[in-house]
Amino acid sequence: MEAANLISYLSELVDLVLPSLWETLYMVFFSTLFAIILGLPLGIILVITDKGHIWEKPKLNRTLGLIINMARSLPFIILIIAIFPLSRLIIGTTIGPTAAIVPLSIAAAPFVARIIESSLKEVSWGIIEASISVGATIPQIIFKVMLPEAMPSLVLGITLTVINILGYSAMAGAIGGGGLGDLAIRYGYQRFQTDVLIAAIIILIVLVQIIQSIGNMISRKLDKR
Amino acid sequence: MITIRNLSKVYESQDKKVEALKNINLTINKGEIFGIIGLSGAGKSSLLRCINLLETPTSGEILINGTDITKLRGAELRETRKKIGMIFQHFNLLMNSTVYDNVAFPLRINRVPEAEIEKRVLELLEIVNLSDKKDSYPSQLSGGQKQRVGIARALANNPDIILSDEATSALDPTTTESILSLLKDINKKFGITIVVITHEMDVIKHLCNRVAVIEDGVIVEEGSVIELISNPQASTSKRFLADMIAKLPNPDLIQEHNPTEEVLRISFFGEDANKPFISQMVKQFDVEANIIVGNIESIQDVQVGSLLVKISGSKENIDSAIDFLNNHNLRIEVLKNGSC
Ligand SMILES: Nc1ncnc2c1ncn2[C@@H]1O[C@H](COP(=O)(O)OP(=O)(O)OP(=O)(O)O)[C@@H](O)[C@H]1O
Ligand SMILES: [Mg+2]
Repeated sequence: MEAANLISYLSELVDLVLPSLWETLYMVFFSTLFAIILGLPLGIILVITDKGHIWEKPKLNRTLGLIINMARSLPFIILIIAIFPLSRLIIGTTIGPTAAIVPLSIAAAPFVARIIESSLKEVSWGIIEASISVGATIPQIIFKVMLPEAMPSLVLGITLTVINILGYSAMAGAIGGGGLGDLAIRYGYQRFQTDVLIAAIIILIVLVQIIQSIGNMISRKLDKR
Repeated sequence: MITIRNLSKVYESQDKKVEALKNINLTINKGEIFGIIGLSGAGKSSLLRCINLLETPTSGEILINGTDITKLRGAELRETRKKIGMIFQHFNLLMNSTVYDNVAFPLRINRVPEAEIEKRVLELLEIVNLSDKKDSYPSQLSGGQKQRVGIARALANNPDIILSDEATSALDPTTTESILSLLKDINKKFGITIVVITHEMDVIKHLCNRVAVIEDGVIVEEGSVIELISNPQASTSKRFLADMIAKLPNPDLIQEHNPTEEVLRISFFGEDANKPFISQMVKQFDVEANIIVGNIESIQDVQVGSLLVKISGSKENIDSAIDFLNNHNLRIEVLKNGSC
């Protein structure tokens, strides 16, 4: 292949891949955001309603745990199909990256809840007692003690969530969600354009590496223990 | 003033009940340093943690300045807790916050304006001698420095009472001493009542005015520290004071009974320590005295000592010498073969 040909080939490939990359980043960013908005309160409630904690509510704790486990045991692809009608309700369509954000957020929320639960459980009970002893309220203990103390571990958990959602988003692509997954399936699988498939895979691998490195870096910066 | 009345605490788990405190009655005066000593599992932490309701009593009353705090809930309880500082064996600092932010924490909880917080925190860091560490994180501090941060935090809201749960148990002897003298200074300077629990007699000796000995959830002895040390009654008290009692270095020093020789343990305290009673005895009764071992300690400016003395002479003279000593307000034990 001549140089000129190679360049035009590559620029065609970039033109093909770039919009999908943006779609993926868009889906992952907003899905993560909404998954955290849904999952964070659930994770906090799971911790503080546990036995002996600052807002003991055994029934609520058990019920919530059960619901989260049920949601997590559904295969993602089933969940996404089940939730798609909800996308139509909220977004007005079930096709495209914006529509995929709804099932992605909802599917990741229980995962986020568990991740946040386990991070918050690492906060030593001693420091929580110290805050009770200076007269802190429950919200103060959550926002001024538990979350800041768990921050390094929360950042790692959220990093894991982003990477998971990236994987889910590729699956969402398979049923019309757009993004790199959609690209890989349309060109690589249905039209046998292996080069597009390989490009999509390489980009996904690089994305995961970048996300993990950034997460590790931020977590290390925050960790003063 | 803290008055504890008929306080009981039972921990209940699925299958078993632990009676950690059994009908405790105790009065702690305003401005004193009160010690609670006991062996592991005796119920010290349970008792201390009832005083700021970190542990809910099963029954009984805890009156602080006349208010029964066991009846308080919600905001009232939180306001009361702000006036009771607590320091912990393992410091319990915010690990991801600086020294400054750790000390500022109770003030921020209390919604004090930030400018006032700064003034107060710098003042507190001055008191605990940590001004140069204000931007350090706890992980960069030694154990003693961490405890100083804990003390500054406990002082932040100008408390009336400080509760100390084994505050020096994780520290080496020199650091322990500096923390104890800091607590003493704080008590003197600000008139704060301090309640310390410990399993170390040294802490009691150096710090406390009065002491209660707790054994299996029951207060078995209570009184001034000097009283306890000079005349312990309960077996636990005696066990804690065992180090201070002169012991025979070698049991063979007492042979089978010889009427012309006795080994005496003489315990004395206060002014008696300065009296030359041994030489008086030797002169007056024609006996010889040989000091085997002895120790004298100064506890809160009172001399407390214990001596093992072998006296020899005629039986009558020995008996009169022992009478002489008994009349001098000294505690005398005649050691027999097999005792030490
Ligand atoms: N949360 C709890 N649940 C059940 N039992 C408890 C609990 N806390 C303490 N106990 C029991 O109560 C008794 C007194 O415990 P406490 O912690 O008050 O003792 P302590 O004198 O402070 O001992 P240590 O010197 O080891 O700290 C012990 O038998 C202990 O096992
Ligand atoms: Mg204890």
